[in-house]
Parts: sequence; C-alpha cells; structure tokens
Amino acid sequence: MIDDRNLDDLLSAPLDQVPDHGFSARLMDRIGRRASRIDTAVFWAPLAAAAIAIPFVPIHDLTDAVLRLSPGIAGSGAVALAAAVLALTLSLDNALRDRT
Amino acid sequence: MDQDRQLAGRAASGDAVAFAALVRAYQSRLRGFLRRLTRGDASLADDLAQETFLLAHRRIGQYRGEGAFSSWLLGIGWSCFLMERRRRKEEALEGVPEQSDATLASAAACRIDLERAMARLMAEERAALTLCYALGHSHGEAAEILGMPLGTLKSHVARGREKLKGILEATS
Repeated sequence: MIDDRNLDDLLSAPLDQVPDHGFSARLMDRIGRRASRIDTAVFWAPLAAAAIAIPFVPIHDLTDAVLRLSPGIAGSGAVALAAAVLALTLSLDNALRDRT
Repeated sequence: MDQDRQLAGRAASGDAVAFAALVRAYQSRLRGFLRRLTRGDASLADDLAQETFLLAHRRIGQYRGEGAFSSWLLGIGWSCFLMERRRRKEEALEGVPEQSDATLASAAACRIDLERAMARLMAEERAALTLCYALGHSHGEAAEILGMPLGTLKSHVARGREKLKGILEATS
C-alpha cells in the first residue's frame, strides 16, 4: 500500500546525477565547427556572389555614366559637404569603438 | 542566478568559455530530465540534449535573465522532445514495454519501479511531475517551462500522481 507521503518521497527524490563523460567537450567541439563553417560562409559568400554577378554588370555603361556625372559631382558643394560628414562620422565611430 | 546571467551575457557576445561553463553546470539536470521524458533511453536523451544546447547557443541573446537559466534551458529541451515525438509520431502510451505486475510488485517502493511506473504515464504528466517534484520547480515555473496554462499543469500533476499511485498500488 502506498500512501500520499510515500509517493511524495518517491517523487521528490532528486534525479540521478548524469556523469559528463565527454558530453560537454563533444558539444563544444560541434559548436566550434559550426561557428567556423559560418565564418567561412560569411567570408566567401559575398565574394562568390560578386564573381557570379560581374559578367552581367554593364561595365562600359557604368564608366560612361560616371564620366558624364563626375564634372557635376566634383563641382557640387552639397556632395562635398555630405562626403565630409560621412567621413567624419566613420572616423568618430572608429575612434569610439577603439576606446570601448 | 546572477552568475548564470553574466555567463549568458558573455556567451551572447561570442565567449565560448562562458557557454561551456553553462553546459557543464546544467548538462546533468537537462540530460536527467530528458532521460525521464524518453523513458530511460539515454542515447535519445543525449541527442536531444545536444540539440537543446545547440539551440540554446543560437538563441542565447534571447535569454534576458528574467527567470532561472535552467528553466529557460529545460523549456528548450521540452520543445526539442515534442519535435522529436512529432517526428516519430509517437503516442504517449505506445511502445511502452509491458511489464508483468510481478516485476513491479517485487520492489514497488524502489526507484527503478518508480521509473517503470513513470514510463506508463503520458509525457506531459512525466514532465510535470519531474519538474515539480524531482527538480523542485514551482507549479508556475513548470507551467512556463512546458508552455502550458497553470491549470493544465496542475491537472497533469494531479492526474499523473493518481495514475502513479494506482500503478504502484496495483502491484504491491
């Protein structure tokens, strides 16, 4: 006959300790391999995409367009100011990141 | 708990040593819980524990330290178990090895018989009883871990207890 107290005692017994036996090391190894696969993919994927896209980019049209626009761009005060602000922001961001 | 929060924060910023410390600290608790859920299938439980930790590693930034890290981890473990059960289309009472009453009766009060009796309960009942008794969680915490309303959790605990008592009494 099992009463409520006996049942409570039985149920409340802590679970057996499960010895590690290399479980944590295997898991961390798997995590490390996955992270290095992701790093490799992050590095190579944009390069691969660029390599695939380059043959389809109309280089001549682009250079013509740049040549046509460059005198206008070079003479524009607004563009010069925007470029200066951008450069300043990037420098400031880098400086802050280095400090933290 | 503060230490877990700090370790989780460091792990979220890519510190593998911090995550390894969390793995070492909680592997036994998680694997024990999953072994209970898988009715003692240590190999399946360890596969699920690996999946759980991999998911935890991927989502570590989502742990805000509002509850205990172990509760958050056990919740992921429970989700992994449910996914596996769905994948195997396993029903709770199917595939339970039938045991003769004599086997159970011989040592009804023993731990091993508790495990055998537990194996005859529904997974939700096993999980609820394990969390609330063996792992010492409150009903509220257990309900959160299992992603079910508090009332449902309490029903699983009560029904699981009654079934367990019935099984153990029938064999004593």
